[in-house]
This record gives sequence, structure tokens and C-alpha cells, in this order.
Amino acid sequence: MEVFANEYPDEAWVVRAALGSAFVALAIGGLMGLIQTLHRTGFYDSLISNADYYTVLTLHGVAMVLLFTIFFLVGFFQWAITDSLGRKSEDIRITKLWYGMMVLGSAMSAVTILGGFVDSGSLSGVEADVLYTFYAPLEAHPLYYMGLAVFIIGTWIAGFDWFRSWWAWKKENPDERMPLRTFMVLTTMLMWYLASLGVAISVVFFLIPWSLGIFDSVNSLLTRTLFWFFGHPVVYFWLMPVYMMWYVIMPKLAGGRLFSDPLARIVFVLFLVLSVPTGIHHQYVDPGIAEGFKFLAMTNTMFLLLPSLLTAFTVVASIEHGARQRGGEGYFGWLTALPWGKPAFTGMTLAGLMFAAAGFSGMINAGMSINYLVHNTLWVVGHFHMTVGTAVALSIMAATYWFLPKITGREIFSRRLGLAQVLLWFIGMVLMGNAMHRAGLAGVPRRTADPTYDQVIYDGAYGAIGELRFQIALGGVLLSLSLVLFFAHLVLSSFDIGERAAATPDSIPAPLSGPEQAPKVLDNIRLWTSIAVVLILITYILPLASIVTDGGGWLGDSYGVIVAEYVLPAVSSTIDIFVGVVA
Amino acid sequence: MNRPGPVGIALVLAFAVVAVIEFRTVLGMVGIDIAIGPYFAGAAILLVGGAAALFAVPEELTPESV
Amino acid sequence: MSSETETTEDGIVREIGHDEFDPVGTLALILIYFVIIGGLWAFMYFVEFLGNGPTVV
Ligand code: HEM
Ligand SMILES: [Cu+2]
Repeated sequence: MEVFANEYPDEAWVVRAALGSAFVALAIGGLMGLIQTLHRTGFYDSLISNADYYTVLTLHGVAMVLLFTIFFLVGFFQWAITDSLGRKSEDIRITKLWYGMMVLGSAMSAVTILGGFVDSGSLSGVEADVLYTFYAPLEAHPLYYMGLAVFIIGTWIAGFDWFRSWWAWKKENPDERMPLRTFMVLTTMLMWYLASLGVAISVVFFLIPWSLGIFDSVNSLLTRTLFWFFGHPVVYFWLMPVYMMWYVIMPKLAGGRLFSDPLARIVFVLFLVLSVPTGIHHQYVDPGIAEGFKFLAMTNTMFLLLPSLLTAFTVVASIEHGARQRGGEGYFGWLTALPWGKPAFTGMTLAGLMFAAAGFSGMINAGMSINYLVHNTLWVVGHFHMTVGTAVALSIMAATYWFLPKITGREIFSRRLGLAQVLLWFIGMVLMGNAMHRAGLAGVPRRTADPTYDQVIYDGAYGAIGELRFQIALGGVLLSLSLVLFFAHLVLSSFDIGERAAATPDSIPAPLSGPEQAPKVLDNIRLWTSIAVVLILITYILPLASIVTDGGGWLGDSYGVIVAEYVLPAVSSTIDIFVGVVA
Repeated sequence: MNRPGPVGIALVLAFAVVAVIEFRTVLGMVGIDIAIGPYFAGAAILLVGGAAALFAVPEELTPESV
Repeated sequence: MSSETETTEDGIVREIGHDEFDPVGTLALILIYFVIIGGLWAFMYFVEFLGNGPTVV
């Protein structure tokens, strides 16, 4: 068996390109993050004006959670599909096409965001200071929305590309079980098709025509609800590739085997079924949505804890298996037998640990009543820097140390440097994340360039607010340093003088409890997708209908009829087609 | 039990930094105040110790260095 | 080719199959996690409801 890069050079090129794009986004986002922490804590606020802060914040949000995460995902998934099915892309031109579309879309949106820094000249009307949630009536240049649409269509084609590989493989191997990694990719993509439909409808049917001046207004609650229809499941789009790493790579690194293949499949099915009908939990404080619908979303959210708890169990048990094979003993002694010297392992473990800690603030966010205490405060920012900002981002960086040799054919530069990088990220995020949570409890708002007001004295449960500001700034600086180490590492690895070839072979060990133990019905993704669609209809039809009928029509107050004739049929036929075509 | 290697020490110190940060808050809430000077000095020493331990990590890892 | 180097690199000293493996360490860690989460949940009540005035707008 050859190293992936040599066995599938064309696919490896796309994987490398996608990772490269992801890391460019990470670098840009990281720089913006540093500016934000220093600006809003008052440590260095003369670099940008308060008005430009929102341009910076938009760039940070979009670069981090849309570009960095999703570009990494498509690269990683391309590897997972090619490697687990053992076949080349059906048509590499399609593979390059979707990658190209994603780059084009990103560039379109990025130009409009960057235009926000320019106040005169030809770019002066071009801006998109709408943050990554782009709530109307905040309005961006049409190109911003069009770029997002092109980007998302690129991901749709990617999913189609991977389904094609699977269909072709299945024809040649009619009796074999779907490989675990393929299963994970396909369930994730099905979830993504369902989820991104919401944002696609919002962007294509409402925001683009509106920003082009075809409509005078939009129903902002409607576009916002459609955003969160996508906005919650998108967190699983970030998380599911990371779960794949945790299920597939971590047991291997620990010297063990995945505890249970069926359990892993169940987890991904649960995500497919439950991810979308929860989005309204981001809108607990939105007027115009009845409490009952919010309650339903909360209930679904609590069920969604289940797959994450199952993951905690399966992954920890798989690692423990490795530790015991390496001679570990006792209830806790086995922890010392783990390969802590491997940055990939240590980084992913710390990321998982941070995720477990963030589970607590997540429970607070998810509760309908207690959400009022933290809504729109820095608490929330603290929460998602520990989840997407660490569980996902740190896992991605750590996994890169393992992954890079596969796709470049060369060893990474230094384990020691990798170790320093992941530890630094962990410490930095403990500081920043913890202080953000506490500042949020004291009432400090998020998305605010200068959160100081004459009338307000923030009152923390303990300690002065100045100390929290300091911790946020210090944490942000440590995180930025960690990023610098990460990029230095990438550069050094690609110019590595020694040019050590990557170790071969690197097969992934079989699970302790294999797919033959899993009931066949688990692989029936058509069934699971149908259930997901039904759940979505149950949770969303009524709230959407009431938003449209009670909330001023499809477009706020104007043009309701046009869109009712145009959009409604399109929506329902898209859903029909989707249900028909799936799997 | 094995004596911990440099990696183990670096990790333990990283967690110690975390503990120092978190516990000052928790202790403060129950009424035990730790002055900011010793607190930062303590955290900084742990951090430097962790960094030093990292430098002692051998590049080629063997099971014993873990 | 390098199954030997793999074994030493991974430090595996024994093979443990499905039936001999009893993840007690995992159980221990998860129980600790639940205790912490439960404790925090109780703690939240004191921080938020007894410490501050009404928050709901
Ligand atoms: C160098 C590391 C980072 C630093 C210093 C940093 C800092 C910050 C700060 C201070 C804010 C809050 C701004 C405000 O509400 O006024 C923020 C927002 C945000 N960050 Fe980060 N961050 C970092 C890394 C990340 C990563 C890795 C991700 C995700 C992968 C991320 C995702 C976000 C998102 C989604 C927002 C919210 C944007 C919005 O409110 O529209 N950040 N970041
Ligand atoms: Cu959510």
C-alpha cells in the first residue's frame, strides 16, 4: 500500500488545495481575532475605528466558520471517500470544478467584505458589514450573497461527487457493507443538503433580489428563521468531520481500535435526523415566534445531546483500549500510557476535553428560560470559541499533523513544535473562553466595538471587570501566537530540508465491534433522510406559516403576492425532488 | 508507576496553569482572595516550566519518553 | 513491511480483543464528568438566581 499522495495524486492535489484555502482563511480570521480582542478590551484600539470593527468582525466570522471549517471539511472528506472506497474520483474535472466554485464564491464574498475598509474610490459602495449571520435589514452588496450561494452550490456538487463514487463502488461491490468513513461522509452531506436549503432559499429568493433593488423590503424574521434553519445544523457540519477524526484517527494514534462501528453509525444517523429541527433555539428571544415552537426546538435540542454523549463514550473507550494494549493499568493509570508525545493525539484530546467543558455552557444556552440571562452577551462568544473555536479548530490543526504526511508524502517538521502549538492554544482558550463566559454573566454584550457605557457598571460575581478584560486580551494573544506556530510549522514542513518520506503503511485498524454487528437498517439512509424531512416539516411548517401570515407576508409589507406565487411552489417542489432523489 | 517524562510534565504544568486560573475565581467566590501578584507570578512560573519541559522532549519519540 | 516498526512506534505490548476489554476507565471518567456537570448545574442556581436581580427584560 502506498501513501495516499502517491496512490491518488490528482485527488491529493484537490485535498491539498482545499486545506490550503482553509488555512488562508484561518490566517485571515486569526489576524482579525487578534484585532478584535485588543480593540474591544481597550488594550489597543487605535488600529481601526469603531465603525470598521464590524467589518473586521464580519471577516473574522465568515473566514473562520464558513471558509476555514468548510474548506477543511471538503478536503478531508475527499480523502475519506477516496481512501475508504479505494477508488479514484469518478471524474476529476468535477472534483476540481466544485473546488473552483468554492474558491470563486469565497473570493466574491471576501471582496465585498474587504470593501468595507474602503471609504472612497471605486470600491466605496461595496460593503458587507453584515456579520456572518447577515440579518436583514442589515444589507450587503449583492455580490456578497451571490458569493455565498456559489460557495454553497460548490459544496452541493462536492456531495454529489462523493455520492457518485459510492454508487459506482456499490455496483462493483454489491454485497459489501458501506465503509464507515463513506457512511460518515454521506450522512453528513445529506444533513447538509437539508440544512443549507434554508439559507439558500433565504439568499436566492429574498436577499439577492432585495439587495438588487427588485424588492423594497424583506420579512426580516423570515430570513432570520431561514438562516437559523441552516445555522444550527451548520455546527454539525463543522463537528461531524471532527467526529470522524475522533472515531477514526484517535483510536489508531492511541494504539487501539475503534470500540464500536455500529455505535459510530448510530451517532451519525442521529445527527442526520435531529440536526435541523432545532434551529429555533437560537431565536428564544425573538418576538414573533410562539413559545410552543421554541419549546419544541428545545426538546429536540436536548435529544441532540445523546449523540455527543455516545461519542464521548465510544471515543474514550477506544482510547482506553489503546492505552491498555500499551500496558496501561487501573481506573486512571491507563491515562499515563497514552501517546501524549504525539501532537495530533494530544491536540485532539485537549480539544475533546474543551468540548466536554463547553457542554455545560451549551446546556445553559439551550434552556429556554436561562438563555435569557446570557443571550447576546460575551458568554455566547466564550461558548462557541470552546466548541467551534477549539473542539473543531484545534482538532483540525492537530489532525493536520497526522494528515499532512498522507497528502504530501512527507513527514511533518517537528513533533515538539506541534506539541507546543496545541498546548498553547489550549491555555489561551482557557483564559479567553473562561473570561468571556464570566464577562457575559456580568452583562458585557457581544458584537460591540466599545462595550463601555456611562450608565453601566458591569457587576461580576467575583473580581473586577478589568481583570476579565485582561484575561480576554491575554488569551487572544496566546491564541494568535499558537496560530503563528502552526503556520510556521506548515511552512517549515513544506521546506523541510531533510525531506523525510512519510511512513508507510498507514492503514486504519478494524473496529473491535465491526459493521457486521450493525443492523442493516442503519445503512438505509433513504429511511433516515425521510424521517429527518418529516421532523423538519413538523417543527418548521407552522412557525414559518405564522411568520408569513402574522408577520407581514413574505416580504414584510410589500410584494407578498409575487413571491407567494413564485417561492411557495418552488420550495415545495424542491422538497419533493429531494425526497425522491436521495440515496 | 513510571516516572513522568518531559511530555508528561509539560502536560501536567499546562493543566496546572488552567487550574490556577479557574480556582482563583472559585476560591474568590467562596471568600478566599488570592492577590493578583502571586497569582500571575505563579501562573507564569508554571508556564515557563511547561515550556522548558517541552524543549526537553526528544524529537524521535520512544515509548519511554511518553 | 514495517509492521514491526509500527508495533514499537505504537508501543503495543499486548493485543486485547473485544471480549477481554472492559472499559472501566471510561466509566470512571464519565462518572466524574457527570458529577462535575451536575455540580455546576447546582452552582449556576446560586450564581444567577440568588446573586443578581431580575434579568428578563
Ligand atoms: C486567534 C484566535 C481567536 C481570537 C483572538 C478570537 C477572538 C474573537 C473575539 C474577541 C470575538 C468577539 C467579538 C465581539 O463579539 O465583539 C470573536 C467572535 C467570533 N469568533 Fe473568534 N477568535 C479566535 C478564533 C476563532 C476561531 C478558531 C473561530 C472558529 C473556527 C472563531 C469564530 C468566531 C465567531 C463565529 C465569532 C462571532 C462573530 C460574530 O459575532 O458575528 N474565532 N472572536
Ligand atoms: Cu444551535
